[in-house]
Amino acid sequence: MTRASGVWLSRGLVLACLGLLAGGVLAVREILSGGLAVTGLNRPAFWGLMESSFLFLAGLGTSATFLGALMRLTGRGPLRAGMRAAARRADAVAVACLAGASAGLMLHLGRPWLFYRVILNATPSSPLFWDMCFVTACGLLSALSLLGVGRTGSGLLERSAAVGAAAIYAAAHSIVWWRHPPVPSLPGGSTLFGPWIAPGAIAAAACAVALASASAWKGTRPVFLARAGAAVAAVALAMLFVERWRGLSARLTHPPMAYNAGSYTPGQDEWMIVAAEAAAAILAARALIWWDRRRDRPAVNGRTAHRQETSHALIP
Amino acid sequence: MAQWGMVIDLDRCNGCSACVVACAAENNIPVAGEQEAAKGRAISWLRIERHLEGTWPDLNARFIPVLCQHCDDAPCVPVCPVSATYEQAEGLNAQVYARCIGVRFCANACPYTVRSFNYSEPEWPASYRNLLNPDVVVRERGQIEKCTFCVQRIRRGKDAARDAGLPLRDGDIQPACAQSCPTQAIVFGDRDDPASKVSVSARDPRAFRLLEEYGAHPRVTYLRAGHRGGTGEST
Repeated sequence: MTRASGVWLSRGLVLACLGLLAGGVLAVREILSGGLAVTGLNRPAFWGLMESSFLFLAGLGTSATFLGALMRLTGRGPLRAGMRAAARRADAVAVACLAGASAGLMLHLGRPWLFYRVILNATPSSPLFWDMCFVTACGLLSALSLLGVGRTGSGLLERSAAVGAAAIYAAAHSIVWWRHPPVPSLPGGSTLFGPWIAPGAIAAAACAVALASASAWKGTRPVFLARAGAAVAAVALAMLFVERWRGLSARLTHPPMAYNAGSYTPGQDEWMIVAAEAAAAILAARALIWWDRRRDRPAVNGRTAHRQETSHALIP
Repeated sequence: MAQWGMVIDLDRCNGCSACVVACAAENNIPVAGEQEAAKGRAISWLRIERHLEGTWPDLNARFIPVLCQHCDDAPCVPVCPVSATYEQAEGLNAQVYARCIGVRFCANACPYTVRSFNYSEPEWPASYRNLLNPDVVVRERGQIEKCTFCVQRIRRGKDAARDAGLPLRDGDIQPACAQSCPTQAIVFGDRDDPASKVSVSARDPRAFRLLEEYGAHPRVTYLRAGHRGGTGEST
């Protein structure tokens, strides 16, 4: 592909994403004016595509935050520069995904314009309260890391933020998951998911970061990509096994529920909003990475660059 | 302070649905229409579950009126992120409509599926609009609603007793469903008063509670149908 055709392809992708975003805005307007009835959500299937997309994007985003924190904490010696560059990409992915997740979280409510009451009438026993805290905390930590908070001096603040992100991630998938389920008679099974989901989410986040860093793949040895792909496939198979085993054990240990899930067909509005969320995430991640790389450029005309230590050779 | 409770004698219930109609009229429950009902969006605070036993022609139908059980350990209360549902001092499981943001966690957590979500703005046929009960707020789109044990009647009964300078007597307060039941299958009253009808009925050997295994400790007690030896008239 020539450089000129690549530019046009890139412009076409951006235009397509902007078109999806415009459609998503119209769909949001229709849901706000018509309520959740326009989405095809029926009783008793209370969860729709927006809630599912929230779970997907929140899992991806928070895992990217965790991944970024791990890379900041473990990057030492010759790997330091590459790890920090990868961590910034992870933070960009996290911020973009968590913004989409927040939209899904709010729009699946019956009265989304009253979401602020989750803060005013904070009820820590509710899973939704923890959803909000988890997404906000991870989003803020990633945004602050991306902005370079604590980059100067000893880096204590940066490391503290990374430790905090790791601790929040671990707590959300263990204590919060167990203590605050949406069905109190069935402990465990919070909307935040249990510890077994973490490896899969982290693997998915690693893939997302790798995709978002496609421009850094130059010079990557094919054998490394093959090994990474095999590792992701192994995690996916392990997750599949654990989920099957959980489903079987749940049937044996829990009494059957008093009701069956009802039918649900996502409406066009919901599909449009999810597509717009994906487009927004792609655009935001690309924009953040572009902005971050722009900051890495060496000093020109006497202006001081923010960082000189970055290397894009994040993968050996 | 009274501790409200209800007893439903399944031996007396003949499934006439008078309680359902009375509940809808008393509590301004919107009319969903055929299409919305087919989508499962009809709102009902009280439903009659029909269970068929045997095969034709030896068929026997049993009816169970199911309404909010006003559980002592209600699963719907802790999951609400805005405290729109809470347990009152008198044991009622109250719902603050104005505070509800429509998360639907409570409806998901309720093992009795007695909470309804307003998918659309409430509608009534034109001839019904002047018949709405001014004591009960009309819920709007995006809110969850459910049985309140006719809390407006409880308040009115207590106010009337206070104004008259008399103590509240057993039977002074009747929810719409209990008042309309032609077979008097539904009894409502103070569980803390050992002489009240509801306390006496709850001590019946036929007494049981729905889905007790979930540990929600419901305040509605049912009397089993078709079992001789109880205090009720059995078949």
